[in-house]
Amino acid sequence: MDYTRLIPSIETIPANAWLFWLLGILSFMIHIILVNSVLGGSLILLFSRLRQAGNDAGHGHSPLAGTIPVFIALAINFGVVPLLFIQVIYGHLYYTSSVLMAVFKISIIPLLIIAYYCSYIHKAKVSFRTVAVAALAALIIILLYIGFIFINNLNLMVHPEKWEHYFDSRGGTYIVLSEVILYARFLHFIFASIAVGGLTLALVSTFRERRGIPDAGAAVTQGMRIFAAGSTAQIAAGVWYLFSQQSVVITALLGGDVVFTMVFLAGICSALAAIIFSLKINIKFTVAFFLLTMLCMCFTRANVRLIETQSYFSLKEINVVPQYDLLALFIVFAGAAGAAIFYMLRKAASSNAGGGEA
Amino acid sequence: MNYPVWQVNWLGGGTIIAVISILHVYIAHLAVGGGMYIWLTDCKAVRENSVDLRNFIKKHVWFFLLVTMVFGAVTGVGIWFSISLVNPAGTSALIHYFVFAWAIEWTFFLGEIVALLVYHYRFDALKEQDRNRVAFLYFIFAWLSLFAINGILSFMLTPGKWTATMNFWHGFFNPSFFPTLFFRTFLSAMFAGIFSYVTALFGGAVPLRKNLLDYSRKWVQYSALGMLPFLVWSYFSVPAPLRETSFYLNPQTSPFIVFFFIALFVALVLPFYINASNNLRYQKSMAAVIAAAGLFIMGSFEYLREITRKPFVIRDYLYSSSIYAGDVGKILEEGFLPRARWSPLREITAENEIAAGREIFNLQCLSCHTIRGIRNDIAPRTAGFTYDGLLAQLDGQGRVLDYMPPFMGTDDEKRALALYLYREINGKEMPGEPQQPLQPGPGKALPQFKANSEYVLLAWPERGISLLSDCDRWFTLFPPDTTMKALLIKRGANPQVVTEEALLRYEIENDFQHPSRHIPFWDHAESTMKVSVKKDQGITGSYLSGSFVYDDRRGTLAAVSLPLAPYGDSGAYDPYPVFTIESGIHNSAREVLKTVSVAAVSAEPGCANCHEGGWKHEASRAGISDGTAINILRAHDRISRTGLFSDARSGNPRSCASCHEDALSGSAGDGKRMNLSASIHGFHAGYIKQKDSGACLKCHPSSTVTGTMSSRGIHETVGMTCVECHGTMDQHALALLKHESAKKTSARLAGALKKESSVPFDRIEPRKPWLQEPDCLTCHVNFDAPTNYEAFNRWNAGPSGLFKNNTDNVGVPCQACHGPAHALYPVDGPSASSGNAQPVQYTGSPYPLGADRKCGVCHKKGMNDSLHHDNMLRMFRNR
Repeated sequence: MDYTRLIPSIETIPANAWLFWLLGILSFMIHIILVNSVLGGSLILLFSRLRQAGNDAGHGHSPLAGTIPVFIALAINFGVVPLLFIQVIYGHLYYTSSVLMAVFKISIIPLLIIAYYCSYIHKAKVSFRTVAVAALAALIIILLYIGFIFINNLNLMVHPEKWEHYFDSRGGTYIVLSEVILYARFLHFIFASIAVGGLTLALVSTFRERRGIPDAGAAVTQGMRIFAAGSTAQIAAGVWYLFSQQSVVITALLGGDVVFTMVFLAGICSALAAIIFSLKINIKFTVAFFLLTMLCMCFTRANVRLIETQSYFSLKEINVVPQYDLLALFIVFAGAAGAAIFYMLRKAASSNAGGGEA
Repeated sequence: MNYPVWQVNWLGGGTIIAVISILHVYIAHLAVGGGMYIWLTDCKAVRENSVDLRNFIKKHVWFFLLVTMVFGAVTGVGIWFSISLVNPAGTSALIHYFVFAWAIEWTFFLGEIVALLVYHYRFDALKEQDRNRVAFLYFIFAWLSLFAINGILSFMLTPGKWTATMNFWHGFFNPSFFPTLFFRTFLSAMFAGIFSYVTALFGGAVPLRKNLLDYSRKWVQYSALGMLPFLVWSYFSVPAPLRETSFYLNPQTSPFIVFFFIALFVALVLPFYINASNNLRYQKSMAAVIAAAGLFIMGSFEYLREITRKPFVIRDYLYSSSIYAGDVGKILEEGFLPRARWSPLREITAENEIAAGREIFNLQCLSCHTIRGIRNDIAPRTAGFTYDGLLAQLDGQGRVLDYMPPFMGTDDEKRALALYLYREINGKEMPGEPQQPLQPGPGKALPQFKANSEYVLLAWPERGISLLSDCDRWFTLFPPDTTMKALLIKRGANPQVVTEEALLRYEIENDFQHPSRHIPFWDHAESTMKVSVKKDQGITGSYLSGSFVYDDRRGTLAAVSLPLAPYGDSGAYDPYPVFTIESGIHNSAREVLKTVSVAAVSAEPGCANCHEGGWKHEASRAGISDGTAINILRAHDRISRTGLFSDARSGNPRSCASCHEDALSGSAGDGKRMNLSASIHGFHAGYIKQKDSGACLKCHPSSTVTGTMSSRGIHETVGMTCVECHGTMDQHALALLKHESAKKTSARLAGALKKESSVPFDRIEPRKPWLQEPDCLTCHVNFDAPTNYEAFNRWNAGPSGLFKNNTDNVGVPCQACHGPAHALYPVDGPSASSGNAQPVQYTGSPYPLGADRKCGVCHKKGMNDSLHHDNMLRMFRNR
């Protein structure tokens, strides 16, 4: 079967496709950092909880218990934006692959609700070991499942030659388990989470250290070490991930396309820099190079998708029916909302001096 | 067709969306109203300097966060996931046309969650004024989210000018936007009050409980009352034809209207009971009830909104089946399967016909129907139809009952879908070929006519064929009702009609003298016809043997409403039973005159052609079976919101004419509904699309098995069909509907048919059934050879102009010489020998009496004047 026949037609968009491409990358970066933080933080918490016996409420890693539910809220919120923009420019591919694995996709919703409530149960019952461990474990398993499903979804999206499997199972239960790249990507996600979890621990502990909370300093160091270890493993996983790509992708990233290669290499270099600064417990530069790494890698991720789809789709194909008045309105509202958010966060920060739970 | 279909056969994709959506929307409205509540209550706490109230808010907000932020937010994403999976085309349209609206809404969502997190986590730390401001910002962001989403949601139902302009602002600020915005705002406040009851009662000891309960009551009741005018405004913002379709025609809406108002009533009234009680357990359970009522209010409203939008996802733009309204024309021309990207079949062959039907079903029907699933199950909805019935249903789908879309495809694709529904969904086998046609019996022996006889005795049925519906246990459409007329002429130079001394008697053939043994009419006549008649007695009191009586209205001797049925005691089915008419004349010669006349009667209205149930008597293919009758009543109950099936089951069947005025039986109906002919033709014309007499013969008998022919006279012989005189089915229906234009349903039925008629609707002459018919002289100008062959649209002015009532220039009924309409001499076909009995008896040929210049039959000699009517003195044209 000629698979290109299965590719749905595309609709018009209200502004240049590259705008949505760019905004999708930037918002995805925020989303994935938050998701990594949640998963990584949970893994760190679980590991340390399993290592010690008894109900220990005063554990140094407990601050993460408070950040996790808040970060889940923000992760969901920041997941909306890339989800919107991927549907704007890649919807015809994204919806199709989603439908093929519909049962797995829809199961994300009840599972995410359970995971989210588990994060609150964990926080509320942090001193009751069994409950806390069970809640953490459930949260982790569910997040891993969701991650794997999304990886599968996004992979299937760029492999329309597989879509004819729909005709064998139309109940939305198609899932690919045989491709190596899925596991390489999954591992890349897990190690990233461990690294970001460590960095989150370090950052939160830095603020606690400034407020004079004991043991916070040790937690900063521990967090940085976890970041370094996770990032190193990440590089190894990254190599595996790179070489499980299609050859056209590998070629492009290793010199075939100048821009793509430069962005990719910049990402690797800044990852190395981040590792070095983390071993020096230099928070500011670690965070700076970490963000630069994330930026370059999120761009690389989007660039790879461009390469993977180039034989049957180009963003240039999409017709633009401009709605510049609405784009302007969006900028205005984003600005106004941003100002209000800034105001609220400032109030929240300045009120910290009065005490209150983090 | 652009996207693959996620086949959720049992649960239905729509069910998944419904469950997630209703939960989300309930909580989302709570989030908006709750924001208003938290802000105003916090201000109140500050104003009253109340620590207790402040503590209550703090606790309230914690539960509020757990509900709205977790369950609310994730189910919101859940809606997005579920609609993307069940209707990607619709989701894609909403995403692409409203990208920036969604992007703007996201900024509100972000502001909302930051506000709530700051408010909750810094509740104790923030200065009071700052805390109030954060609460206010939360509320504003939440309400703005509602504003943005409501724009898109209301657009789906009433896109307004957007359909023509595709302009964002026309779509966003559409006709139902503002009414529903305010409705939802008040609803949100009401839900905030409900949640306030929950936290005040379930949140442990609360010092201000009594005050809080009173406070909660006000939130619930005042908001509910404030909501009502906007509910009414929202209702009227939906266009009137759409309101009619959804709230009157769609049988699915009534339960939800009931749920909505009962739940609203509960929510309004329960606060009084909660607040008056001192029993905490009782109060808690009532709080749970009121929370459930809130869910029912929300769910019913959203369900009604969704149903009203059917069959579209975006009205007038995109159907629920993901087919664009703009593509329908091309699909009808080029076919559906060739254009469906995700169909593995592109063309239909004999081998893959059912598989093709399955693909069409998946792509066009599965979006709303389940297969043996929990709602809108296609199996029982199609079980009541035969294969032909399914084809008819697909032909008429969505024209009148426009909560359904039209079928989109070629005739081959329609057949494939019908075959799939019939064979695979309903597991039926196609019916076998009809058996050998019944052979017409030998003709009846004709009485002799002596050349010197003083009289000519003529008798004929008033109607060429009488239909009877022998399913009286369920309903009576046509009671057994055959009227015979007779004329005794004294022969001579100046023939005279004899009336008083005629002493004419009639008797049906032996085999047909006991119709009560074969049809159930008499078991139910009291219920259906509201008459008390003995067995074998007609509705006006006559039996199948008796005397003719002079009928003033008819102006002849008549035997009215004889209860003739085509079932013989010997087991024969014969639609042409014969009356023998005799006269015992007291004259010098003491002549006993005799003639015979066939009174065609049929129990074959073709309901079973479409309404599954087979024939009552399979071998003769006659009679309306119980199954068919039940399927008819069920369809009628569903479409017209009647209770006919349950009435019949409890022993009170009705006649159609009891509601629908019918000139044939003389019933005035109930005054509200269209007359019977307009109703039955007006409705079925939408489903029977043939432009030839094939449409008529779906119901009016014409069977090669029984030899019953509704039309079997000279017009039939020269090649004319129903259509030349009565018009095509749609034209026939439109004339009847136009006469009933004062009645509500006439406009809707006529509207669906107007486009098809080759005669423009404003030129169609309204027609009152049975009293206005096509006129012979439209074609036979001056009683001469026809100048054209179309008699549709010119009716006689009143009953006296009808062929059956009309007479010639000297008062002889037209029917006496020519026979009844549809069986005009010479009759052809299986009933020819008895159908032409009188002309043959008196003239030796089957032509109308007096044809071939045989004036002598009455005048005893030839005549030179065309006295009876012009152009009559010549040889019969069509030999």
